[in-house]
Amino acid sequence: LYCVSIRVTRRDFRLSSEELMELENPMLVVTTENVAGHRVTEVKGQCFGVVVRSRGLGGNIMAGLRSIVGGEIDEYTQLLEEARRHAVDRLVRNATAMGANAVLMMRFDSAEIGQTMSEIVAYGTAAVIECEAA
Amino acid sequence: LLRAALFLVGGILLAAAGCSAIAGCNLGIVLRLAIPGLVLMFGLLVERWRYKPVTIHRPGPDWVPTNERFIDPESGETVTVFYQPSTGERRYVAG
Repeated sequence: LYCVSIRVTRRDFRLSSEELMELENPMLVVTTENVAGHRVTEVKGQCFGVVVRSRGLGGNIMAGLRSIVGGEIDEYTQLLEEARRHAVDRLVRNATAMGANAVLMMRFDSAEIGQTMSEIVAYGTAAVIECEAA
Repeated sequence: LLRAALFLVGGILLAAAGCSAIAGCNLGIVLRLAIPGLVLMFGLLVERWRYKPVTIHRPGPDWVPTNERFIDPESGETVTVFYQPSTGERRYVAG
């Protein structure tokens, strides 16, 4: 009955594309403990995404030369951006494998390994959430 | 521009190594010019730093767009994140 009522509601009121996208958004990653308009029905546990990345020799030489005059070091900005995406991708993949549809309290941690390697850890609590209106 | 300048430096080193080899210079001098030139050129040509490129088209019908958007610092374009519910994989699409 619940499923049928949801289907009827969606057919009758014709949700906007934004609302539809919100409903179908299967993995929500938030930095907050609670998600507005949702309740946590199940906590799956801790979830991680770890990556260590480095620029190659060419990139490191260019970054070293660029640091002589200062300003933004594009090579390392790109490195950290790629590392961020990689870590979040792994976090989401692990959360999906755990059967979660949300990662709560997501945080980043970073460190340096050696002189040129950057370690990024994305972690949070994998959980199952559902809309409070239901 | 910086990359091109470094390519030029590598090329000059290799050319100098070649010239000194033709002129019959000491092998030590030739190697001291050739090895840094080769290492520099190799380092510039073979750099495996890119993780996942930003694509132009939607990955497929079974991929779901998420509300996650960000501005790519490299291109300045807005990027939308797509999600594959069955595997948990994510893709980055411009626009």
